[in-house]
Order: sequence, then structure tokens, then C-alpha cells
Amino acid sequence: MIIDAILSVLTFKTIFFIAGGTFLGIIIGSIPGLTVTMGVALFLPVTFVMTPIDGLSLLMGLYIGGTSGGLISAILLNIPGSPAAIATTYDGHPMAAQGRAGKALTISILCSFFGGIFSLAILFSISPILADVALRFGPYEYFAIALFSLTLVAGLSGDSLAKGMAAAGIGLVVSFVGMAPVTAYPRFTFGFPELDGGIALLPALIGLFAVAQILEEAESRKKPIPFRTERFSLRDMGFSLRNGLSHFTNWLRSSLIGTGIGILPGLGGAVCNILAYGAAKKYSKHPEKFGTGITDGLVASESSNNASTGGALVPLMTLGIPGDNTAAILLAGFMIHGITPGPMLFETQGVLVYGIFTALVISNLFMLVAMFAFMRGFVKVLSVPKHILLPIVMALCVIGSYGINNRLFDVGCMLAFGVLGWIMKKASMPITPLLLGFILGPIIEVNLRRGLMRTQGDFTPFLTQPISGAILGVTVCIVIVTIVRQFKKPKPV
Amino acid sequence: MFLDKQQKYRDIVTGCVLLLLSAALFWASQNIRDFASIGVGANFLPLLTAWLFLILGLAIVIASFRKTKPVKSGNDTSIGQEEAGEDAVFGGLPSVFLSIFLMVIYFLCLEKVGFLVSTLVYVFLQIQILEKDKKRNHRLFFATTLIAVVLLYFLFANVFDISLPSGILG
Repeated sequence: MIIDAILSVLTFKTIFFIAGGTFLGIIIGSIPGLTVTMGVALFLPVTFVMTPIDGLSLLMGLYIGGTSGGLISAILLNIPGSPAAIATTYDGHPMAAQGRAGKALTISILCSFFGGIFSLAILFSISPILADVALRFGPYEYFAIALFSLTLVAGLSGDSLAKGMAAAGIGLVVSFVGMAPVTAYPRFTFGFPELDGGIALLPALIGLFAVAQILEEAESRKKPIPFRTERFSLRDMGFSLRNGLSHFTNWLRSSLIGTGIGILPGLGGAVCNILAYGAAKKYSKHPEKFGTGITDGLVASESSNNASTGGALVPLMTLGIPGDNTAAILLAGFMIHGITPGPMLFETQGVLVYGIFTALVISNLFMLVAMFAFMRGFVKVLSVPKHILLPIVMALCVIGSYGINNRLFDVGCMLAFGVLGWIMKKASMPITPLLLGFILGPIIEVNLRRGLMRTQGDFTPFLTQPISGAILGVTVCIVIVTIVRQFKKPKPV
Repeated sequence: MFLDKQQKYRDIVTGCVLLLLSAALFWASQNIRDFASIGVGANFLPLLTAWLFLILGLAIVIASFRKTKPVKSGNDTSIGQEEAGEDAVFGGLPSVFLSIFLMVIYFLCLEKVGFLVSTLVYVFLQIQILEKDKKRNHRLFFATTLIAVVLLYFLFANVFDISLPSGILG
């Protein structure tokens, strides 16, 4: 099966899509304001007409490229191209300012590659085992895992637990629209027949991530920073093996943090690069040098954010629960082709699963080659002004939302979600819990109701079954710990 | 202090919106009569979420009143200066509302006028709203809009064969 899978990807057409996806991903990732999540969402309509393996390979390429591309503007402009590259600016830009831009880019690219490969190795080894375990899960376990994921995201993704939970609640409300699971009772449709099937995931995602971004840009009063590349020397890309090996522990720790955070639902690259940077500083022999242009900081940030990619795919492929925002869009990418990620995927679509794994490896390799070969070109792309780019992005959004069901109603939904996303940002509410609430709402509800039907309305088995009981116990602990931490937080003076 | 006050005001509004949402959910869930269910019905989770909003709304409003008020903040002057200096650039809420208005008109025109023409007009006007510089290169905007939109239209409608809204002008 694995050989079949590898062969299914090793065609000229599929490799072309992987390479193209990675290349475009690097460009999207490197432009501040265009995130990898938005990039993958924008290219979903292109995959409508492709075979599943071609379409998903393109999306995986975009994912890997987009996560890596953020380092270019982080180092050269001191603006992270994506939130996953925030910590890269701490030491990357000081290095560039000292005339060591070439070295900073080389180290970051290599770390991105090895971090990515590390997480893929974990994905290859863990996923089949986890899928095997998940096959034995019933409604109790699924209910517990989905509730756990939602609570974790609500508690961790913003500054305030209340706002995180409110965002998750809004996501749940969105998921309630349409036929109720199990009994197919229509609710919250307000007389719109288009809402009987519920709100489509793709227009909602595009609205939240792309349209909201356009509104935010409209609101901004900042003038764009004039871009100059001649300040930076891209020479001296040299990097000795001995020097590289001295970073092994830091790389391993950061990659582990990245993969671990990636596996936890809803967090991903934006969180782990800062955590890994913090950990590298804490365990360093010279923490005072961090922030002045030290390579250790780059190694931590760049290996961890790429390591989160493989991690985020673990829960997506094995349980159907996305590990980060981009994985949520990838979930929509699977659904377009009528494939539901989950433990059965390994049984029914084994060739596709291992094909995707192969595409991820190829994409990482291509990212490495493309970043070195076309560095100067990518740097030039950064000068494309956002005010011209974003309206064109909007046109793509319309194509994507309309194309999924051929109805204008979805375009309207996209706009509504765009405004919602902008309002939530103004209210300092995180978007990720909403997204997870939307995706996990049906999983929570369907499994709760199925479980209760099995027990004739008795909730006790949810708590007494060992796996679901333990997960629900941990969920309660997370809520308590988060509340206690919020009360202990020093008040601003 | 300015920022804190604004944050407090925003928190109160957020809390109140959640309370309203909670009331709306309670009201809307009342009409759900799901007799076929065993255990819990189709209104169970919506009602639970309504309770959640009620508690969170109250918590956010109460917390915003209880926040300690700083007496003086050194950042005050710098924020004031920044605001004054930025006045020259078009942005803020008027720009957002104008963009939303433009998007709604675009949405309404899509089916009547068709994707190609309405997108051309929309993209050109949206670039004008987003451009922060007073010196505007209209020719460049027009050329970019024309090339990008026609290319997108050709790519999706002809190469990828995805149907796009076609009004009287295609």
C-alpha cells in the first residue's frame, strides 16, 4: 500500500502541484498580512476540479510553504510574514541589521526543513497507531475528546478565558443552524431554505480569515513601510557542520515543542514559536544574548513552527479534529472531495493517506530548494503593495465561496463572517475557538445524543468509561487551572 | 489611561452583546420541539450555550467594572501624538463601513451584472479605499485591476471550469 501511495504521488502532474503549492505558499507566507490559513483557503476552489491526491498535495504544499515563508519578512523587514514567525524577528532582524542576513536566512531555512521533517517522522509513526486506537472509540470517547479540545482552545488562545469561551460559544451557535443531528429537526433556519443544510464551512472560513483581514487593513491608519532590499547583504550564506551540530539539543527541544503544540487542537505555529524561543532562552548558557542577533533564537523559532505542521495533521488525520487553523481549512479540503478525515481514513483510503505523507516530504524538500534558489525573487515579491493585493484576494474569496455550491447565498455568508471576524478582533476575542466550536459542535452534539440514546438518557457512562472519564476529568482540571491563573494574574498598574 | 478606558468600554459592550445573544438563544430555542429524541433533544445544547453566554456576559461586564483604574500613565502623551500624526491618512471606522457598504453592493450586483464587470468595479474602488498614500496612481490601479480580474475570470471560468455568477453582462 505504501509503495502504491508513493507511486501515486510520483507523477509529473502531482509533483508539479506540490511544487507550485509550496512556491505560492512561500510567497503568501512571506507577505505580511497574507497568512498561510488565508492562502490555503483561497486555493481551495482550485482543487474542486482536481483528483483528491492532486488537490490535497497542492494544499499541503501551500501549508508547508506558507509556514516557512514567514521567515523572509521576519528577518529582512522585522515584520513576521505570519504569526508563526514572530519569534524569528527577535534575533533574525538584528542579525540582518548587522549584515548577516544571508546567514540568518540559511539557518532559518535549514531549521524549517529539519523541523518539518522531524514532525513528519512523528506523524508517520504515531498516526497509524492512534487511528487504530481511535477505531475503538465510541460516542462517549468522541464527546469527551471534542469537549476537551474545545475547552483547551477556549482557555489558551486568548488573554481572557471568558472571551475564549464566548468565542467557542459563538462557534457552537453557528454549528446549530440547520438540521439537528440524529433527529434531523430543522432549527435556527429563520425561513431560509439554504440554511437547512447548515452554514457551509468554507465560506465561513474565508470570511473569518480573508474578508476580516481586508476590513482590518481598511481600518488601519498606518502608512506602509517603504521597502528597501539593498540594505541587506545576502552574501555569506555559509554555515559550518560543526556549528550546526552545536544546535542539536536546541533543535530537538524546539521541534518537540512544535510537534507537541501542533498535536494539541487549535494552537499551532503561532503559539509554539514563542514557547520554543522562551524555552531556548531559559536553558541557554547565555540567555542575555537573546534578542541581539543570536543564532539559537532562530533555531528555536524556525524549527518549532515548521514542526507544528506535522503535529497539527495528527489529530486531523486520526480523529477529524484540526490541530490548528490551517488544518481546519485542510479539513474543508478533504470534505470537498467527499472524504471525512478520521480513523476510518487509514482503513478505507490508505493509499491517499500515505500519498499525502509522501507529498508532505516532497513539499519540505522543495521548500528547501526553492527558498535557496529563489531567495532574491521572494524578497522582491514583498514589495507588492497590500492595498492592491487584498481587493484581488476578495475576488478570489468570492470565487471560492460561490464555487462550492454554485449559490450566491454562500457569498453573503462569507461577507457576514468577515464582518463577524472583524468585530471579534475589535472585542479582543480570539477567532480560533469560534472555528473549533463550529467544527466540533456537531461532533459534540451527535456523540452526546447517541451516547444518551444508548443509555436511555443516563449520563453516568460518560464519566465511568475509563477513557472518556479521564479526558473529561482533565477538561475540568484545565477549566479550574485557567480560572485560578486568571485570578492570580497581576493587575495592570 | 485612554486605552484602558476604551478597553473597558469595549468589554462592557461585548458583555452586553453576549447577554442579548443569550436572550435571543433562549427565545429561539423555545420553539424547538423535538419529540423524536431520547435523552436530550435538539434544544439541549442551544439552551446550554444560552446559559453559557448569560454567565460569560455577566462575568465580562462585572470584571470590566472591577478592573483597577490606573491614576496616570506615561504612555498618554505618546498615544495622543501618534493619533494626531495619523489623522492625515484615511482609515478608521469610516473606511471600514465604506468597505462593508462596497462589499454589500458588490454582492447584490454579482447576480444582476455578472462576476466580471462587478468584480472589476469592486476591486478598483476597494483599492482606492485601502490606499493610504495621498498620491494615487490611478493608471496603475486600473491596469492591475483589469489584468488581475480578467486573468482570474479566464482561469476559473475557462481553465478550471468553475461556474461564476453571470448576469446581463457576463
